Amino acid sequence: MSKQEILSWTSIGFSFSVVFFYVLFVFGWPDFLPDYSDHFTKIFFNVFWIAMAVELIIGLTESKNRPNKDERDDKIEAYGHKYAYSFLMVAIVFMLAQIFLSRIFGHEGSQYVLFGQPNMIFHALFLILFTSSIIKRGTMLYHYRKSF
Amino acid sequence: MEEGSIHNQIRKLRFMHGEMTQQELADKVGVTRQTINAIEAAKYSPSLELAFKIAHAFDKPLEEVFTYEI
Repeated sequence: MSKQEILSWTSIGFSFSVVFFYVLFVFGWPDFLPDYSDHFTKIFFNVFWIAMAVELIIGLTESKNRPNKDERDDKIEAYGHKYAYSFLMVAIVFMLAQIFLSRIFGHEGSQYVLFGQPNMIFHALFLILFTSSIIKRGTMLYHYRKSF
Repeated sequence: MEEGSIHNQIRKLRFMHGEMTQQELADKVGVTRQTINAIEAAKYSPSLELAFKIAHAFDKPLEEVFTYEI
C-alpha cells in the first residue's frame, strides 16, 4: 500500500468521524433506533485519533530521496477531484434551489422548515463539504484497490 | 477506432539486470514501487516520459520494453 493510499484511508476515516460527531451533536441520536450512540462514539473517537496518528507518522517519515507522490497518484487524485467537484456542484445548486423555493412557499411549507432557516443551511453546507471529501477519497481508494 | 493494449517486458528485464527489484527500478526512474508494480501488471499505462526513463534504465530502446497491440 502506497503512502498516498494510506493517507486516503486516514482522510476518509477522519471525514466520517467528523460527520458522525457533527450529526450526533446537532441532531442527536434518532429515537427510532436502539441507543448505540456511546458504542459508535467510542468507535469513531478511536478512528479519529488513529487517523491523526497515522498521518503524523507518515508526515514524520517522509523520505527525501523517494517520491511521496508520482504521476499515477496525481492521475488517481484527479479522478477523485472530478467526482467530488461534480457532487459539490450538484449539492450547492440543489441548496440554492431549495432556498429559492423556500422563499416562494413562505414560512408555511415544510421546505422552509428543512432548508429555509439559516442554521439548517449552515448544517447542510457543512455536511456537503465533508461528504465531498469522502467522495473524493472513496474514488481514490476505489482506483488504488483496482490497481489503476 | 480499435482499442489496443500495451504490453511490457519490465519484469523480464529486471531479472536480466542483476535481479533488480521493483523498488530499485522505482528509485531509478523517480516513481513509487506501487506504480512499477501496476505498470508490470499492465494495469497502468505510464506517460511517455516515464516510459522513456524506464527504457533508459535498462539501456534499451523503447520498442524493446513496451509493445502496442491492437
